[in-house]
Amino acid sequence: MTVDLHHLAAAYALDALDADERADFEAHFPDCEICGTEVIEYRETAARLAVDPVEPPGHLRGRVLTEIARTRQLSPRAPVVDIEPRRRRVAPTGFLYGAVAAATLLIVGLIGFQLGSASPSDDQLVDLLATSDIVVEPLAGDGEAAVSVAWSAGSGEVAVVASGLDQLAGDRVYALWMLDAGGATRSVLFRPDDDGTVRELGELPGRPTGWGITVEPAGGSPQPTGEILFATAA
Amino acid sequence: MSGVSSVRPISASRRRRREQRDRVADAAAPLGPTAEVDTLMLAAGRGDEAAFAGLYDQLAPLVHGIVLRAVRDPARSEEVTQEVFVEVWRLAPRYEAGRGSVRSWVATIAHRRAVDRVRSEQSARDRDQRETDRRDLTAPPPDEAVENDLDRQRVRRALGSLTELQRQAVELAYYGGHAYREVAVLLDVAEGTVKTRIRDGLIRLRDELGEGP
Repeated sequence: MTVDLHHLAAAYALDALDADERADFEAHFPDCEICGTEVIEYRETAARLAVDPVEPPGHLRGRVLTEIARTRQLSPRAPVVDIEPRRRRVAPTGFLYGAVAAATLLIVGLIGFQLGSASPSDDQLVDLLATSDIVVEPLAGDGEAAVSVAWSAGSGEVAVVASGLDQLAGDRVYALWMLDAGGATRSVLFRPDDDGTVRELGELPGRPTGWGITVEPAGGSPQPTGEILFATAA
Repeated sequence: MSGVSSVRPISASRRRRREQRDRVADAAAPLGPTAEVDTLMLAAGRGDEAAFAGLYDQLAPLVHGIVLRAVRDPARSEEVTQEVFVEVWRLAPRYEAGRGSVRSWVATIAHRRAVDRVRSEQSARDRDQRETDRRDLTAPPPDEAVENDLDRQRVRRALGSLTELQRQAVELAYYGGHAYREVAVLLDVAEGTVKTRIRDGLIRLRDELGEGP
């Protein structure tokens, strides 16, 4: 890192950083009290610059209200996540805004990381992330690993991305479970790359109310049998 | 949708907005008392669609103005404005009053969404367009109807108090939606200089404009 991140708060608040720097800064500022405060102040100032209000066309109001009526809101706080047969209470994430930013970053970063090789799954991942109803959720868990799930009901796909994930023995596999009122439905089985990163796509099995990740025997299980390592925290 | 009774009917908030507009002398708060926007945001964060409609009525001109200025194309701007409000709805439960005003929170989402749209399209577009964008910026802003808006005059004055380079850098970045590296090319100065000027310019603006509406 050659650029001093502390000096980027103003350019960040004006959206004047390029994608890489924005990602670096977003990874930095939630943990930096000075930058956090500066960003808030600069954003207030930037918002003041918006002095050309323009009434949008009247029909837009109806479209927006129709769209939000079928758009699920993110949860403000970590709900209790139940996965049968085991139950585990997931601690709330302290700084959700940062967590979502980090999740987005993680995904953008992992895509950027792979753009050079442009494997088909990355194109699919980009397509998924470009859908208008994309929902990105960071999952909470112990340890250093960062895991996020992104899904789109419109495209019927779900992506799981992660970094820093522990390697597994050859006969074990990570399983992503979609949670809804009916319980847990198996979604994607995956193993991290040698560097601990994950980029996997799969079908969205329904309308999720949450997600959980367990370790299962290779080939997967019809229902979760392992401990919940990561789960929806928000 | 339940919870409708917790907010005032939309027609009432519309009426209020009109009344607020009439109070041009009180233009320091052109979007109305922040308390009301805060209340609406709080209710919208609990899934109250009627409250969100009220929020839309209050903030749609702000959002659309930001988007239109960066995106320019009316049809695309409509799309982006819609995306912004759907995003505001989705994120509403996570709005934290301690992390900035509703207005700046929504403006931030709008600006970023607009800028990202411009950049993704720009990369696939003739670069000559940038020169046009730049020329447009030096022209007086459109919409003379709100020329007497006091807040707008204050912002103009504040921008006028910057050095030429600071003002150009801030305007190209915020209004033009350019990354600072592009600003450096457009102004033909070093990238580091642009970064510093943006920072100094924004600090100056912050001090000139105070806490804001």
